[in-house]
Amino acid sequence: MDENAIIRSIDDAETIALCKDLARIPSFPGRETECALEFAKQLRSLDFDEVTLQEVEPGRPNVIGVLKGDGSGPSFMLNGHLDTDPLPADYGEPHWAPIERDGKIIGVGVGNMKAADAAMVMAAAAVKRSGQKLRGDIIVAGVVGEIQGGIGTRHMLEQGLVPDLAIVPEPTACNVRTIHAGVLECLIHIFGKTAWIGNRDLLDNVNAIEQAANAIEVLKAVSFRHQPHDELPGLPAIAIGGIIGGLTPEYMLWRPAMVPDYCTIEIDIRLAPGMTFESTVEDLRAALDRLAASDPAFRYEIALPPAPYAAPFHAMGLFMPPNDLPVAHPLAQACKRWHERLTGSEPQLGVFIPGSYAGADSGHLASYGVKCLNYGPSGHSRFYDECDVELLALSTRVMALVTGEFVL
Amino acid sequence: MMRAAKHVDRGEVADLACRLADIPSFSGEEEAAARFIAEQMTSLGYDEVRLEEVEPGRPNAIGIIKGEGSGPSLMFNGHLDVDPIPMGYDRPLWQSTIEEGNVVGVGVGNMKGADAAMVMAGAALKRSGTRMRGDLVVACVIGELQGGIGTVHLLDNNPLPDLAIVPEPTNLQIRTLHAGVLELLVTIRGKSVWIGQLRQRKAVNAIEKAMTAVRAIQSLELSHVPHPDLPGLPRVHVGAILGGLTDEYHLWRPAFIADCCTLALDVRLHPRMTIDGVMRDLRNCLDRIAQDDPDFQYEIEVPPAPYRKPWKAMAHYMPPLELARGHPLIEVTAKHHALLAGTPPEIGMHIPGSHAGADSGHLFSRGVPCFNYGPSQHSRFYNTVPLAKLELGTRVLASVAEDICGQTWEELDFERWRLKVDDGSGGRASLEAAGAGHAKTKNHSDARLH
Repeated sequence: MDENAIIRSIDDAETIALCKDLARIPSFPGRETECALEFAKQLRSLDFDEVTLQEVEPGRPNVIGVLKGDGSGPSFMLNGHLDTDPLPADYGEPHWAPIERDGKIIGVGVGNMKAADAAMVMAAAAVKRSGQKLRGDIIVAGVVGEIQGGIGTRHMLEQGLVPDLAIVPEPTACNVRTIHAGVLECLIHIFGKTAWIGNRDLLDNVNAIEQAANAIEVLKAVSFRHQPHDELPGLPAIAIGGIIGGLTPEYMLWRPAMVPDYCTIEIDIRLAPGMTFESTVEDLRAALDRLAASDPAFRYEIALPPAPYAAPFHAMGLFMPPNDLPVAHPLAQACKRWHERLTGSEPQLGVFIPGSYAGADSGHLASYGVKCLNYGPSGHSRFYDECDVELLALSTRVMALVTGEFVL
Repeated sequence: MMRAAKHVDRGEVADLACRLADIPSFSGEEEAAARFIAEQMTSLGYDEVRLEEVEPGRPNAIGIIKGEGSGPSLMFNGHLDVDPIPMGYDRPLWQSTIEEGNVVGVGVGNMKGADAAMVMAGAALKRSGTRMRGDLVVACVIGELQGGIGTVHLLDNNPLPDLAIVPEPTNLQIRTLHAGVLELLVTIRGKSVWIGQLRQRKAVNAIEKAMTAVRAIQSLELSHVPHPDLPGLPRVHVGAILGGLTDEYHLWRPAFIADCCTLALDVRLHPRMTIDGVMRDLRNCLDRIAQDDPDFQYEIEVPPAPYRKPWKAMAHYMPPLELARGHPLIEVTAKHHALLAGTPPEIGMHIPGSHAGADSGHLFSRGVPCFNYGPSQHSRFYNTVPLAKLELGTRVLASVAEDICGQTWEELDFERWRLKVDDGSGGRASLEAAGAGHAKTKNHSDARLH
């Protein structure tokens, strides 16, 4: 591999421009299409051999760009999601025109993960531009719905596009993350029994919201079976992320005079590596069943996984498995080595905090046998709206060189 | 016996109740029902029928049998909007039936049966050819469940009637007192952090904080001097909840700790309590939580902005009712009930009906002597009325209207009809605290009486 030819083929201004082009287009989950079309346009203009729009849902495509190899080497995927996080209450006015300030690019979704999307595209392009013969395919996947559980990547894998190796450049601030959590989002429906408030003492009734308060106490204290991991003390974790309760499963909120008979709690559970979907659900049920045993009025149902985007939640439609690639794997070692060669310093290898508490499409890839890890330019900022320009440049080079090492 | 009652036909009232009940009319969707009832009043020979828009596409339907102006005007006031259908209701929707002596259908019990009764009572009066001294006004209003927005609009834009009957479900008892109803929103604010950063950044989960508030509110004892007739009041509960990210309540990213959670509360006051007292208790309750937990931050909206999305809770405080015992309207109604039913009606409080708010509170707060007297009773689904009660109620309403609107003020000895508040100071204080402008409207009413 001619590494200098690859490095010479990288123009950081081009990467920054691409990052800004992507960040200018809002792409919250379910509304990625305009951004996806821009992504596809950019791949075409970079002379990818194939650019395919792969519909995950009607009108909602993944973009798959391929630089063809001759088939004698392993296929290598760079996988980044196009959807971006919601903005919390204190974010202020979103800036849809990304800016550069203090050595950072700042714009909605830049940190998770449009800067990385730009880096991976330019990394792949650099391998091709270096003029060397590709033995394995390089596949660039700009996917939708990662925040919804990775429906884009899952669809891609189900369609049979399963590479040998992959980098998913989620925010690691250019550290090599081989371990991350699994993510289970689910809904817990709690049933009450309605009566009009004026009849409360005459008709038996159960206030579903009051029961939800009991359930939340229990949820906060569920003990999940797991092997403690010294470097991941925050796993497993559970967050109460949403609640809605009122009358009937349609959650009528306009008649508070009636004792509410239906309340749904939306939770997010982070699994430690080694924990399974099955054991997690068992532990969850056991805790709630204990509550039900002590209070016959407590009745619940777990929607698991939730029907994809069951209104009004639109929570993850899928369980996201954890990833745990051995640090000795050649892919992890290659990332570490190229990072050291370019920076003179050693990256973290293995766990990266807080990134290892995230789920990512790497978990889906791993569950299909793909050897993969995370190595991306952004850090974990509160709003995931920024990326350090130097790290953007570094990650582009490292991804290009690692990719080159396997496909050339 | 008065003549009008003889013109009431059981089948006709039941048929009108069924047809009205087969038109869906949840709050906000009453237009078709209002138009239907207006058409019915027109074809039944009412002298004047109007649709008065409260909001675009949401008219009250008002029918009048005109009097000469020398006697008192009487209003029958019934709402067209119906309760939501809770889980467990497994009967066919919008297909009313008559079975085992009952009309059964969505909303029949609250209060489309009664609406049919008051419309047919007016029709009976018209058919009887009674010489009308005062107007009979039949008002079928929208949005009672939303705090009585239809009746508030009606009273803001029309002369006040001298007297009124609101035939809410009382099982044909004369209910002279009922609760005031206050719906309000309590919003708890948190601070959002992504689940993976809970060890690095301080998060405040608005939903968890809200649960502390739920427990406190569910066990809150509102301070009050017990009302001898209404030992079950006051009461308060949490009726709805929504919590997620931002004040738009995003629910699609539970990995972020929720930073906004809102509770909808329903408070029932007895007629001698004040809103101020309730608010003080509620604030004290929440402030105690905040004292123990500096991260607990709340806001109260009272009453909420009209139908602030997605709540659509009551847009008004609904004032209570406490009509003085011995008011002549009670005597007249009791007399006709006794004549037609063979037994005297119960008078005063009615449980659980007196735990309800009703448009009678709005009428009363403006100085209109009124009470509730309706044919259905409280049931889980409010979907039924007995045919016999429906007929009897219609006949009594017709007789009362004939008796009152058919006489001049002189014949009626009008001094006796002035509004008296049972417990002078307490009742008045609560009405003034309700911001109902009681004194002003009372003067207005006096002016009309003289």
